[in-house]
Amino acid sequence: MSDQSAHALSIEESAAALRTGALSAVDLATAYLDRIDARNDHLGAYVTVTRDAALAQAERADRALAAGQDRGPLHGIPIAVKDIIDIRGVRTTAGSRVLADNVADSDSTLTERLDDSGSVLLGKLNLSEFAIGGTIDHPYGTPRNPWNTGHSAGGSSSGSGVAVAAGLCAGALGSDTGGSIRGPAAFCGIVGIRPTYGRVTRAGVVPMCWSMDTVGPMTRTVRDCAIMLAAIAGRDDRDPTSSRNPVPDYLASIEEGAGGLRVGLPREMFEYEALSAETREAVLRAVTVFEELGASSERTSLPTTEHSGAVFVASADVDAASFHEHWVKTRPDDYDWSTRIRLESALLTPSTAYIKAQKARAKIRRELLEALDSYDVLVFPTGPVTAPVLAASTGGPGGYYQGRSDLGRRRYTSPAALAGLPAISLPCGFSSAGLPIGMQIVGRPFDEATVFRAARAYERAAEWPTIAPDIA
Amino acid sequence: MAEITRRQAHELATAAGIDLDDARADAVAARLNAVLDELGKLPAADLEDVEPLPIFSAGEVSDE
Repeated sequence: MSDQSAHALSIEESAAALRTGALSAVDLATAYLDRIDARNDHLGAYVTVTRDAALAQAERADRALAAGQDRGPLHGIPIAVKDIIDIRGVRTTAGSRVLADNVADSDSTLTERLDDSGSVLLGKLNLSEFAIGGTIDHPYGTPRNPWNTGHSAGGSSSGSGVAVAAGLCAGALGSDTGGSIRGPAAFCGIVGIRPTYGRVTRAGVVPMCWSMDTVGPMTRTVRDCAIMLAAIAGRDDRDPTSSRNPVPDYLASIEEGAGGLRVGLPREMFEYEALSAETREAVLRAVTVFEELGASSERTSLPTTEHSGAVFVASADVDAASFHEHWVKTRPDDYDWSTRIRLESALLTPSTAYIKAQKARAKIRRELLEALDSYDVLVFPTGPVTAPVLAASTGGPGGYYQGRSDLGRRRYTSPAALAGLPAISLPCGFSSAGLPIGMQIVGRPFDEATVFRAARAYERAAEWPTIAPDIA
Repeated sequence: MAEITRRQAHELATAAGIDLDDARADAVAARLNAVLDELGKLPAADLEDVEPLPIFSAGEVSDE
């Protein structure tokens, strides 16, 4: 096998190549590191590349495999993590000048679990500042969409989306408070899952909103996504919000197909005035595929989700502001203009508005859970449009993350976040401009297995996973 | 609901210990107005009997 094509392999394909001897872990890590060296300056995916540590891990992985010590499907696989996740001895910037010199003195539990799985950590991935979204001036380089580098990669796990789509890592960890995995996954044409709140530990992860922050995998295939989630999920005594619910073998049911699945289609997500016709049609075509595979679909309604953008902002931004208050007051100029406006606005949000948002949040959760009594999954677009041009993708005046339009488009990713439900985004087509369109599948609490099963059924029937951006 | 003005944004910020210039006061006021206006569209009657509990029944997540 050519090292030059190693980056195009899925995690599963790479794992197979490592076991047949077609590739070594060092070959694989070197192939990715060389691509990072050649492309990262332009694509802005990585904040920090841990080349020497990665090659040392790869050598250990090779020695272990040669000795018959196989740690499973991530053994020897090059992975990277969003730069809010601590790796001991490596700086965690959170994409901000505020933490430019913040070197972690211990590993996050996620890093430990990836290490236990035998994976090879390539480095830390770029993001919107403090995972908040809308950054205008990225201090560590602007993440660019590999499908068209004049367009946004989404936020906040932008570097994770870029790196996976451009073949700069085999899989990545992102975080999703209100859509920060699903948005970049949709814009970059990859797969990303927000797990159920509590499914994955957050110990050693810079917080945004304590009651909505989740960490999840971003990959090129649904099966790879399930493999990575299995490696990081489960109870962690360092994170009291982590669940004791057992972690199932996601691959055991992932090929069961869509036959018999009941799919709910919330009309609020298909009748929104700012939903592009191309996105709407692409997702409805995907629903037809589900029906051809034996699923049934039906329109349903989640009326309070129309307001979920404001409910999310009034909840999550206020939580974030409580974390940032000291720095906002003592080091305001170290923040990006957009981040600072969001945090200052949140600090001035009336407490009555916060409580009203909490009540609406509880109502939104109830609406989703009641719908999921009738349907196995809910399907709708990941967002109303494809990736905007970079200049329009910020929280600056008139930008994608600014004002009433920002609150409106948040209706797509906020509901699952507010309700703590698992939600995956996967590619379901391309716009006439050649940009990926994402479809979202939301499931019941801790039922990631059904979400993966539905996503995999669609992926198997579609051609999208075989199409990659033209990054030489 | 009455719109928050630049002047009111300045006053709120001063009380909270935040220093805003006029451009940021305008941006903060616009953002607050957008959020409060949207929350204002939620019918109060629909939320009357809802407890403001954001999370999650016991058993799903550790109750520690």
